[in-house]
Parts: sequence; C-alpha cells; structure tokens
Amino acid sequence: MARRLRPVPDRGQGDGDRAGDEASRPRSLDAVMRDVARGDVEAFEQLYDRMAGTVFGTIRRVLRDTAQSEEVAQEVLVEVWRTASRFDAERGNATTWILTMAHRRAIDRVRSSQSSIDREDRVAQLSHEPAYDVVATQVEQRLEAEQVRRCLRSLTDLQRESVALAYYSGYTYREVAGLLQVPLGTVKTRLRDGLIRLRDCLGVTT
Amino acid sequence: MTDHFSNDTAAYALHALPLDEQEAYARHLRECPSCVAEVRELTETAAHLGLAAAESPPAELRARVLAHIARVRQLPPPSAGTHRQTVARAVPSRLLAAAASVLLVLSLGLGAAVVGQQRRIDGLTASAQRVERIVTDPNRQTVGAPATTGTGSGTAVVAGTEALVLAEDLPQLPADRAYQLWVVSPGGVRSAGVLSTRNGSATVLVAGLSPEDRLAMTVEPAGGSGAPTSDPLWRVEV
Repeated sequence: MARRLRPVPDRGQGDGDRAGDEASRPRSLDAVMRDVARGDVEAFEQLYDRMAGTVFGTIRRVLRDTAQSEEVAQEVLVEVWRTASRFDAERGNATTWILTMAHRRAIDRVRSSQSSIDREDRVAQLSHEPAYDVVATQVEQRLEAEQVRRCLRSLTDLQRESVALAYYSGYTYREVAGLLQVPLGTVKTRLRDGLIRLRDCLGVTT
Repeated sequence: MTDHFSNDTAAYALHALPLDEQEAYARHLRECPSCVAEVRELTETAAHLGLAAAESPPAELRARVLAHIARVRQLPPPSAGTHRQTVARAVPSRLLAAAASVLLVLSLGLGAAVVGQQRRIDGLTASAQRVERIVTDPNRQTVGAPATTGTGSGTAVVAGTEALVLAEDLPQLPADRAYQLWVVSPGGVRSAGVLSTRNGSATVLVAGLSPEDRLAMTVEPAGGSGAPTSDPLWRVEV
C-alpha cells in the first residue's frame, strides 16, 4: 500500500467532539508551509507545534547534549521560517524538508566539534533501534515511532546496525566501516539494502 | 545503475557521506534522474527515522523561536527569471585566505586513530563548508570595525544566523591573557569562543545570531571568562 509521509496532526486544541467535522481535520503541513512563506506567524506557530518535538528529538539523538540540541533546533526552526519560500512541494513534502534540514545541521555540528573523544566512546553504544523511553506527547508520534521500530525489525541485524550508526549516531560510512571492521563497499550495500527495505515496509513512494 | 556511484544513494540520504564525496555525489545527481528518484524516496524514508525520534521539546524553546523569527527577514520567493537578485560585494580575499590558513594549520595536528583523524578532517571540511555557505550567500553583509584602543580590527561576514569573523592586527598578549569573542544580545552576553591567533589574526565561525546582536572582542584571562571583564577592543553590529 503506497503511503506518503503523513504530517503529524495537531491534537492540542480540544476538538475531540467535532469528529467528522471538516474544520477539525488538520491542514497538510505543505499547505501550512505556503502560509509560512508569506510571513503568516500563526501558521508558523502551527508548524512549530507539529514539528518542534521531532526536530528536537532528531537533533538530540545525534548530538546527545540537550543544551546544544536546543541551540541547533532553534537555528533550524528559524531557518525554516527564513527560507520557507524556498520549499518546493514538487521535490518532497514539508515534513521531509524540515527533518532533512534538522538532521543535516546536527551532523554538521557534531562533525565540526573538536572533541572526538566523546563520539568514540559511543562505539560501545551500537544502538539498533530508536530508544523505547522516548517520550512523545502526541499519539500519532508514538504510532509513527512504533511503525518505524516494527519496520526496522524487518532489516537484518547488520543492516539495522549500519543504518542506526549512520542516522542516529551520525557516523560517515567510512567511520562505520572502521568501527565494524568491514569493507567500505559492504557498508554502503548494507545501508542501501536496509534503507530500501525500510522504504518498502513503510510504503514510501514519490 | 552500473557506475561507481550506484551504491551511494542511501549513504547520501542518511548524510553518511564525508563532505567531499557528498559534493561529488550531488554533482552526479544532476546527470542521473534515476538516482534522483531513489535518493528522494530514501530521503523521505530517512525522515521517518527522525519522526520516530520525536520527544517533547524544551518548554522555553517555543517563546525563544517566536521571538527570534520576529527579528529575522524571510527570503523572498525565487523569481522566475534570474538566479541572483542582489549583487553582493566581494568578500575581502584576505578574509578567505585567513580562514583557509587557520584551517590548514589546524589540519597538521591530526592524531593517529583512523576514526579520530577522519573526524578531524570532517570537522575541518564541515567548517570549510560553513565558511563557503556564508561567503557565497547572496544576502550576506560584510561589516567591520576598527579597534577602539590600540591596533587591531574586526570584520564579520554575516549570512542569516551565521557569521565568519576575522580579527586582525592583534597585538601579542602575555601568556596568561587571551582574546575572547562575545555575542551581545538585548537579552544578555554569551561567549563565541576564545580566539587562537596566528600572526596576529584569528578567524571564528559564529552561529545563532539575530539582527540586533553585536559582536565584541575583549582581552580576558587565558582560557576565557564566563562574562566580559574588560571593555571591548571593538564592536561590530550584525
């Protein structure tokens, strides 16, 4: 079943007894982004309420340090505001655009920090799945997390390990190869096969 | 896909390519539509990994972000005809040379461990990428200030919320003193780092700037201070 990445709906407004009412269905994040691009602050607040948790969480998985993660999350969210007119719905949805930016910035930050000692310590923490103790405020976020965890289980252990080291720990494929003592090509293949399996399990098509 | 880039789609989508390979792959994508399609799907797939990491953001972040965007100008929509709408002044070449020389000298002190070495190379290339992003931003602004006391000056190239700062003609300090850069906001002062000077110059990358911020440099005890303890040698409006 083909399924595009769903934006996380906003549930904070007490609209539970208006089930079935058109007005209670949240707008797509792509539509919200169009308003943000025109300077609509209320639209940006909606975007914040939907995306800040996942922006912050993505960054913190990579950076670990809460204060730095807050700093980078703020940078990213402000950059979303600043460059909203550059978002192109033809090239992918807003959720993907925002989270790709967040992950990219976290990676830039962790690779430009001079302290590599802290990162090397994390060899011991080869994480295979997203943490179970992540506290997500919204039901949809928890469901999403559960689905990703389920689909990650469809990968082989080696594929899952490489994908987690790359995405959540922020290692380059060369570093992953060094950590796991396998050839560079093997890591690239595991990443590709693993991510393709994840894609198919989640039903992502463009 | 049978060329030597064929296996890179996932590494690229996961941001797991080192910078030089990332740039080479980005160039390759311009000539490989089938690669582009796969990269798009895998990028969206990778975003699901991010969605799964969601947690409650810190409570004070919302107010901070909203206050910040009130002071940030949005980019206009890209116009149909032209790529660049403003012709920005060239960045002083001595600024680029200083930045490059600082990065180059740092690269000579690499350690032995493979991972550590690659990390430092990536660190330097990530810094170089940030420098390039700032100096090629068409909306960048270059601001400068002479020292208020003695010799020395500060120049900053500001793009969005980042800046590349060059301090020049810095008098040699005794071993127990150091130059420190500060970001002065309406809400307070924070350190942007202790400068390591080479031949009287130092280059610093600063992030998280707002339009009302100013950059200032002071002399502090070696190792830096939590807050400025002396008057600024120079001040630059962002």
